[in-house]
Amino acid sequence: MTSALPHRAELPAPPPTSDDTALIRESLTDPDRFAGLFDRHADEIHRYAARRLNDVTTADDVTAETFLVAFRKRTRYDLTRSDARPWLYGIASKLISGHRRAEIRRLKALARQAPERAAEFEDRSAERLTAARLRPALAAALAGLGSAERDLLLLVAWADLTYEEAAQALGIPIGTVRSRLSRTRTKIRRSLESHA
Amino acid sequence: MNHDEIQLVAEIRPDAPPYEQEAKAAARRGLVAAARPKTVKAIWRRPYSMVLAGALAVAVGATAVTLARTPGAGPSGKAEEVVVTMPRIVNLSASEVLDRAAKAASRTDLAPRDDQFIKVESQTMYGSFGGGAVNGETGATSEETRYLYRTKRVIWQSADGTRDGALTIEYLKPKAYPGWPIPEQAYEDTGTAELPLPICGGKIPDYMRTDYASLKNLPSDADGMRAHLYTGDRGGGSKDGAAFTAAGDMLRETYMPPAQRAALFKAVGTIPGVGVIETAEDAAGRKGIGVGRAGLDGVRQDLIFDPKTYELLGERGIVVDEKAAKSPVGSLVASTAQLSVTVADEAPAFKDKNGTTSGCG
Repeated sequence: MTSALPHRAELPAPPPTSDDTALIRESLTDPDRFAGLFDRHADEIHRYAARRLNDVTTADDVTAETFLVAFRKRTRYDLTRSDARPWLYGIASKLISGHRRAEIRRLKALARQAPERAAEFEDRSAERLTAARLRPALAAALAGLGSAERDLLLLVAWADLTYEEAAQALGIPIGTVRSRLSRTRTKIRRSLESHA
Repeated sequence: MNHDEIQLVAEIRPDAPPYEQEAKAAARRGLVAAARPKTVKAIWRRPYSMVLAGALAVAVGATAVTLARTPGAGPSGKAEEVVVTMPRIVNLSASEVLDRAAKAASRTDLAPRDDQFIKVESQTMYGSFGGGAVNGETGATSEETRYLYRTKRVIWQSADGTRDGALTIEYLKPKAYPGWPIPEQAYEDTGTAELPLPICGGKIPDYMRTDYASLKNLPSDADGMRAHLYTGDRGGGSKDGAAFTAAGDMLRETYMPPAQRAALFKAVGTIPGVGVIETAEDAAGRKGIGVGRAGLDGVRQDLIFDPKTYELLGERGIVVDEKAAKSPVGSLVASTAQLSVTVADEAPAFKDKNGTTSGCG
């Protein structure tokens, strides 16, 4: 059978209200401490990179590079933000968009995935059924988005960031998050309609 | 049919393969390696330096101070005596000295074109702090180490901040951090490293830029320059500490035209907590006027100015609080010298260790 859709319940719990600020502050005088940030968030960043890129090696590279870039930029980290994840996701997003081909391969693979048979959906929501059937069309719609739109949409849809966190990650105002997502929704809807 | 498109996209989220232990360990090692001494300079340049309340004005009894240039230090190689007349007051304030200093700032006048590079050669000695970190997996704390690492650096930076620069670091023999044994790792960095300095998207806010093109457009009056030092969020809990750090950043491995230099000398003297040392020695043995400020780390950082032209000769760090600094009072824990500042047409195109010239995020 094709890979099952992930259940929300299987997703890792968000990290405890850890204070990344303290770690980053300490790393200013003791750079070694920055490894603590890696220990906390590397799995999560890797998971996101692996979802967006088709090959694991590239996801490995993106994850390693994300933390190196973050380390170099740590003096400019906004120490009023206790959760460093949006910052790390923002760096990862930029790196991912530098791997356009691996990203497109991912979306093509997603589109090729055969729709599951209706019988196997008995215990699933109607919405999930619809999404599975629409998978090829949705993948095509994703591929057709601009990279800024795709970055934002996937931070919300695949990384579960809140609008506020996504705004921090991409360095854009929350108002821009709302308007960009709204525009993206419309684009996807049109794309799906044209596939129908 | 009224499905939310975002929810639909969330529903087709692909599975993620696990992060292989081997790849993860390699990434962590790479990060730890990057955090090693080569980057320790960040400690010295940290933007979050803390305030130490109270002025450090130096009592000066003499009416004149003779500042001698060490033979071999000047371009001519000849000893040169310079007399700077000091005001006849007991407590010499930094702003008074700097006001006089500003009148003298005029010698070198480089005028690089936008497509050229500022090339700066310097010698540095900074503290390297290691260990004391808690291992995320075992919970063990590693042994704390300290030593002074020394280098010769040559840096090429784009005059208008738009072109990739370059940096070579030649590692010199380390020295002991006063009160601490030299750890083995101090000898690991040897030879010469060649590093590209890519321009990454130009995301630095204007007020934090230190390229020649932006420095030459800064105010040429002290009030305007002081306002600049306090502009924007420069980090840290102390605006005064951040302003002093900003002044150092504008002078270190850069070239600032005489008019702005003069304004900056005046402005830095008005920062609360700043004091003057009439004779401070840089890493090349040249003596100049030290303008310094103590941090809560127990170390006073001095910017050392040429007594004649008031260009930056170098910097030094001296322990003023034994307990905070974990080193005896008077210990020299940082010392640098800017040996030359020139204009170059090109910067070497070094590759980073991945074989690419981009290291951008």
